[in-house]
Amino acid sequence: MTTTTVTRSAPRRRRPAAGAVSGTSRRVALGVLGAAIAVAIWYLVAVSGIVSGRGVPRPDEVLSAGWVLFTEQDLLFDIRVSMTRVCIGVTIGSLLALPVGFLLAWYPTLRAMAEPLVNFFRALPPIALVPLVIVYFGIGENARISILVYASFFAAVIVLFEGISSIDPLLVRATRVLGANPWEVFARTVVPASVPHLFTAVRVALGVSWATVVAAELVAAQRGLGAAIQDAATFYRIPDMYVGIAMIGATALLMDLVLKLVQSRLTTWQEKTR
Amino acid sequence: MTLTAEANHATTSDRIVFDQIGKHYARGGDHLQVLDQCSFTVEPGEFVSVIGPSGCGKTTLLNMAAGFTAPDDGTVRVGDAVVTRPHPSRGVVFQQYAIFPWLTVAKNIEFGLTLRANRRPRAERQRVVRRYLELMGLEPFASAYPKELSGGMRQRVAIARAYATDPQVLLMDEPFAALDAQTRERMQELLHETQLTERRTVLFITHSVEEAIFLSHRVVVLSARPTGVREVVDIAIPAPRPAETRLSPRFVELRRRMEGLLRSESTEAEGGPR
Ligand SMILES: Nc1ncnc2c1ncn2[C@@H]1O[C@H](COP(=O)(O)OP(=O)(O)O)[C@@H](O)[C@H]1O
Ligand SMILES: [Mg+2]
Repeated sequence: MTTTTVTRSAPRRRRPAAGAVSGTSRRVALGVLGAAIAVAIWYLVAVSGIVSGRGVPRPDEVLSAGWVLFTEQDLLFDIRVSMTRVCIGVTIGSLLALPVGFLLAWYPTLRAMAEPLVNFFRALPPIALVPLVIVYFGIGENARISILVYASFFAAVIVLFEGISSIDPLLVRATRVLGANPWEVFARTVVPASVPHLFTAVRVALGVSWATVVAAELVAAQRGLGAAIQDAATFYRIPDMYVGIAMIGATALLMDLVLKLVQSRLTTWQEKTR
Repeated sequence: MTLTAEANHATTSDRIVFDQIGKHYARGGDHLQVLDQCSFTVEPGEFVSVIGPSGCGKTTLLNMAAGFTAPDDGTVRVGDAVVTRPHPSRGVVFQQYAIFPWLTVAKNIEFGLTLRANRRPRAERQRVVRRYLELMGLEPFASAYPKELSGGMRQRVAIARAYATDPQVLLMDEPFAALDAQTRERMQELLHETQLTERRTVLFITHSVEEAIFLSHRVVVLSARPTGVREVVDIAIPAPRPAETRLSPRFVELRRRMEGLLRSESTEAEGGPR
């Protein structure tokens, strides 16, 4: 064949390593700076006494309360208990949301029927469900988990069907003209195109679940971060309450970071829009 | 380059016939007649471009040949069969590439050969992939993901993917419209060369007169809406056509004539009744 000059340069690999590293460390540094400013403001609020009543404990008071909780009352165990509940809740909730999300994205009629319902149930605060859950599930572990499943499911379902119905119809067409049957269109195109949305759904469900864990542990829980916070509240151990709350935030943050890492490993093909 | 059975491949069974095509859309309460009595034929092994003002129904025509859209009047036939749905014997290249972002370049090209309708043994798949990687100058990118490629490279992947399933007929809807001028000319030359060795029946949609002349055996010039065939122009320039063909007197003359035809269409459309 005749030859046309074809530019053959090596493919552009990921951004230069040095730039990426400095970008990441810059982001981390800014995150730390933000947290430091927040702690400083907290300190000022605590010592100024502008909050009436029992006031706000100083950061160092909370820190030493945390030390005592970890060393003498095994707070790590509470973290593990809550984390297990959240993980079970998110896993079950997302697994249920997955087929529902696909169905709603695939059948517009179904979606039109279900969307208001989904939004209705999603808007209900989980704490309002606690009495009802006790009536139906009693006060065991199942009751607590069911609240987390509920919260995870509705959060994940919304993200999933929004995401899956935004898949480029052109890709579906391209798959069909290459000879794919409906099952192959689903398995070879819809499913891989949904993976990023699945990750987002799980991350949103995790966030919602951590926000719900205190409500879930209102159901007669002995251990867990929510139970620890309520316990501290009963005895007016204000710094201990702060420790519990901070641990919820920290654990949720950590789990989200881990998921983000896994996601970026598994979906290297994705175009970054940032 | 070895000439395999796929190479000189066009047979009488892949003539594309547009027979008295009519199509209208409901627009609001209105009735928009897009195509009316539109007839033309693409002979086996022929490269035919369809050119016309934007919005005149070019994509609609291509979608009918692909089997995505049904005409209201008339039929589209490929060989003896009336087109009713997509089929891998009619490959499509879309303007927006539509390659799978989660697959590498090589896997994209291989995709059609892994589907049930067209599955080939592994060794044959690899041979086909190697061949089109080479033909399209994509070897250095074989294991790259689409996000790492430029627009021109992405479109090469899409073209390679369409050729790889060995369709009788290729349908291309303004495949180079999104590319910059230089890349565009290079892609035209690449496609022309590919046709010299991999001769297929091609229906090529464009709104560039120059592109239509450079690539085609014949050019179908459409009229303004309701769209029919204004004129079919024979491009009697022998192949192979090197890049300089664009400057030859015959090319320039054809170009002048066709631009005149198109201009008269658009002025008639503006002056005429809506
Ligand atoms: N699904 C549709 N519903 C309503 N109108 C449509 C639809 N598809 C195309 N049209 C109209 O038909 C006309 C021709 O469209 P198209 O075939 O895309 O034109 P072209 O590809 O030549 O630019 C346009 O005016 C467009 O607005
Ligand atoms: Mg178009």
